[in-house]
Amino acid sequence: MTAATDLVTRVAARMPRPDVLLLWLLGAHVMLKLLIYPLTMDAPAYNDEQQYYDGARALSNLLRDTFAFTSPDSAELERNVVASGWFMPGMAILMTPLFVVIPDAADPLCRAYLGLANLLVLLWAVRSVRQRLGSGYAALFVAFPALLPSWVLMSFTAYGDPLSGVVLIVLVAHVVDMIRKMRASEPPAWKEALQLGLLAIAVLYLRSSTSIVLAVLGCVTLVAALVLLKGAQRWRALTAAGLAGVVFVMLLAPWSIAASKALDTRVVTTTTVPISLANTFGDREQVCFGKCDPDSYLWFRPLRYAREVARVTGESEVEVEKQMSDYALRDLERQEYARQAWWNIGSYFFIPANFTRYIAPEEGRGPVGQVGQGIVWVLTYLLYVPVLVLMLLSMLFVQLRSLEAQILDTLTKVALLALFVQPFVHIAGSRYWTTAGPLFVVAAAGFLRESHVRRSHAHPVRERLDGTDARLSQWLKPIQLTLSGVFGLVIVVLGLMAI
Amino acid sequence: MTGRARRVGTLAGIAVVLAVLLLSHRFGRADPTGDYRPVLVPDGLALGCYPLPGGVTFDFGYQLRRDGDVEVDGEKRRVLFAQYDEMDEDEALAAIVDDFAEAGFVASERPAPPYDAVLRRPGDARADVVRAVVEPLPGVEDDTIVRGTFELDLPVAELASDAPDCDDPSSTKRWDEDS
Repeated sequence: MTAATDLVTRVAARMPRPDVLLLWLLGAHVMLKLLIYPLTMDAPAYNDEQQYYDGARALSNLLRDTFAFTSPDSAELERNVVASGWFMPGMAILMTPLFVVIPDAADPLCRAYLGLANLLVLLWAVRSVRQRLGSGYAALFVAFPALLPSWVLMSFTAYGDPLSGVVLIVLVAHVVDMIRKMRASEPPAWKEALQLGLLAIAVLYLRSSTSIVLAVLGCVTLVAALVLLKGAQRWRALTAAGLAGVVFVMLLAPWSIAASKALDTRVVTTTTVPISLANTFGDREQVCFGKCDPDSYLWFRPLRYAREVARVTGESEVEVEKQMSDYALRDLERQEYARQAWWNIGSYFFIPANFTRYIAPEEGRGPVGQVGQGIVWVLTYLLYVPVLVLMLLSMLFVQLRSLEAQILDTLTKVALLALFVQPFVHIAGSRYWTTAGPLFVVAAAGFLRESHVRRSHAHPVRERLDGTDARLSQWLKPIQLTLSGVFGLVIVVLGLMAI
Repeated sequence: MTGRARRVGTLAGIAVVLAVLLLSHRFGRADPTGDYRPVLVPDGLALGCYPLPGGVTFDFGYQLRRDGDVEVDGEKRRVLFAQYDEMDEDEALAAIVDDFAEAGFVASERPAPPYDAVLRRPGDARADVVRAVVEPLPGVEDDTIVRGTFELDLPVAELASDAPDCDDPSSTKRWDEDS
């Protein structure tokens, strides 16, 4: 541990100014993109990507029809954008411009477009983070995950996970900035509240499983406003929060309404929770009140069954799925749940390069492609493992070197804990970690810095704090300790349950 | 960039986007595959692919789960396994018997266990008997939609319709391998 912090300190001392470093890192990222693009160029849409592509095609037709003053094809929209209500259409919306201009875009063009769109969002995010957290954090955020080869590969895919992580870190940066202003007794401006609402709904549209982390961050910001501000400013802050909420709900409504109408039941974000719980933790032989049809994939089997029952009885397929899930889960034992949760945790954290195998041309990779894939795999693990280990360590320890560090530590812990709920409720895929990726490096870097500070000063010299700041710092410490405690406790309890 | 240059640039950008959108119907039409929302094939029994004896159709809510031919004591029989909805066990049995009765089947007074009903048409061969077993599902509640299963032991049926979906196992539930 000492060796690691010393090495990092020596390397950090030799580095150029953060801004210069940032430009070099961005350049490296672009280079990596150009090198990795050929690996994905001829890959057709893989699994869920198919729905995002189709959703984008249908939405492009919607725009086409609207601007040609003809009525849109609502059956096509329902079938391709809402489908079974499994995914929110964030990535479909992002890809729509491509299909508006080139309706029959081929795979290489789709991949190139996705890569470019991802790059533009990344650049915007870097600018945002640099403005609010400084060039140091911006540089870190480019170093990981944007220099991770498998992340770069995923930036050419239609999955919303990497981008949701990028927008999420911008949201966190906005919250830090807002709290900074509130500490100076300045309530958030209307524009900032609007931005917060927009960022939050964007994250949700890109990856609906972020609803928990968004709710948690929303609560944290609200509590901060109530605690840090007084009197008239507090009211202003609450109304600003209301504005953010209204914007969020207004932009969520079109999707919720469309999905609810298409599926004949109330849908807020997605409909996957019951079936994913059943498939992940339930008895798969009982999901269809018995065995499901043997032919189709894990997710489509229960869907077809639910639709058959819905057709016959007139109930909504989503209601049927809820009952199917309850039935399949009724005999679930603690040990089974815990073991499956550990399996999910493994899939979530420990196979970051998995998608390198899937995003490949139909006929498989040639020898050059295989070598490229291998290199991506190795380099990914080399960069990923240290950051992962440091992040996990950082979850167990608290950062107290300054108030800003405390605030960032609290927000990071809270967000990561909210994101880590995923393996407990869903089969974890190897791309889910990318939503938390940028937060990994923030946690890891904070931990390293804290270790360095504690090691190099016998009595750490902290800034002098007055008034609200001092009280805030005092209150945050037990909160940070509690969060670390919760993390450790959950691991221990889940471990014991699995034995 | 000066303020004015920025405004001009933004307006130009908006104009370009608008022009593209207004002309977009000339670029062709995108063709989504709809793969993630497969068309739901009709129920095989309702299509009449492998009809029930006597042309019986069921008048209650059911889902076909498995259908196929097996050998029982050297004799080939058709076994049809399905689930019934929104009824209890007695109602389901009565509904099945009633639907067969409409086609002229008569239920035996004392069906041999384990069967809940043994149905015959007067004048039919011995092999044309229909036997039914109705079982409630364990662990369901009063408001659960799917309530139980019924299994019919039937004479073997031939393909009786040339509807294209009759080739689709997801419609007829006649799966090739052991499932």
